Amino acid sequence: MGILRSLVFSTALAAGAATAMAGEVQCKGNEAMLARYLGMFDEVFNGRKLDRIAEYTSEDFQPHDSAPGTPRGHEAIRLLVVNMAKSFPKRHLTNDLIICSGDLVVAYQTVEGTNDGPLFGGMPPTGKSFNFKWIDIYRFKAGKVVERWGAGDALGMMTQMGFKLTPPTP
Amino acid sequence: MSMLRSIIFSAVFAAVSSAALALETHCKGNEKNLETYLKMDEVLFEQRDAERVLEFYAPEFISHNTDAGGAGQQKRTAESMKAMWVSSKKNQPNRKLHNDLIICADDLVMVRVTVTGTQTGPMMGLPATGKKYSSTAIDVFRFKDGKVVERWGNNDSISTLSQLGLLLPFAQAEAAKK
Repeated sequence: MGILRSLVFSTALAAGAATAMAGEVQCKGNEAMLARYLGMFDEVFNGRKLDRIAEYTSEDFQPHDSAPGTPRGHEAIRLLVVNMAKSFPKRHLTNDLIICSGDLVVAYQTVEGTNDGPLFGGMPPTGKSFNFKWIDIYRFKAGKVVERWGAGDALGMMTQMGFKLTPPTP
Repeated sequence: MSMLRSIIFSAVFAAVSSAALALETHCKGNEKNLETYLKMDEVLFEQRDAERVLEFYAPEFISHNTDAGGAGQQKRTAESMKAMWVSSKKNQPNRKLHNDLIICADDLVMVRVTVTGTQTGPMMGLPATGKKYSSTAIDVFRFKDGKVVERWGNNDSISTLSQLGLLLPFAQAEAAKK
């Protein structure tokens, strides 16, 4: 039984690693931090397991790119995951490039999905698919994320969903 | 003694508060790439001296930037980048970049920057508004023999356009789409 259990476990791990690590990884000597990042990526961001947020992020987590008034801590991540799940239930992230340096992890990702749920709280879904790039920097402390900086091609995503840039009428 | 302590405390505090605004770098052992990046930042990104592109970019490099719905990974020539810097200098002459965080790892340099400016000329095909903006970007550069051979990056153009009032509220955008 022990062998079977360990086989199942290795298979699950290998499968998890395969989804999370498609791409270039430069994290030699920083494997523990990389594993924490990949765990968060699979369980929280792709897996959308809200009960795993506290496992990977610190209570005083500080996002650097949110609108003024956005909460910090676990609530910031919870809102992000919940809102994304509503608008884009099938969204999937892939790591193209992961770099570790000191206490920081940099990840360049491909974001794929379809807008199957209401957008921005109430607008009907466009039904359109998107594929764009995102980049994040995470700072880890004692195995948990304490800071995050991010930037993504959200404009590319909006354009793919059919939105057009138009200046406001005077 | 307490005065001395308070002087030391003030000195430490002053150092900490100025550090909060300063650049954070993680490039120990990678000083050469850091130096190359900082020079490129000044000459190409800040001054936008497009004639000097081959000093910093390999004649052909791989770009992973999608830049508003692009194709992702593609080969580009240094020559093809010139037009972008020429147009940026012409249309947004007072655009400034501030490095917030620079991380080096092997042949890569990663940078988080704050971009500020006043939109005095057209941007992404939209007219000048004269409004100020401040947004952020993250870039990754791979250097080989002191030149960029690969790059990844994104900037928060949604935020920039929103601050300029060039992005319609989404409900209006939805209506305009039809």
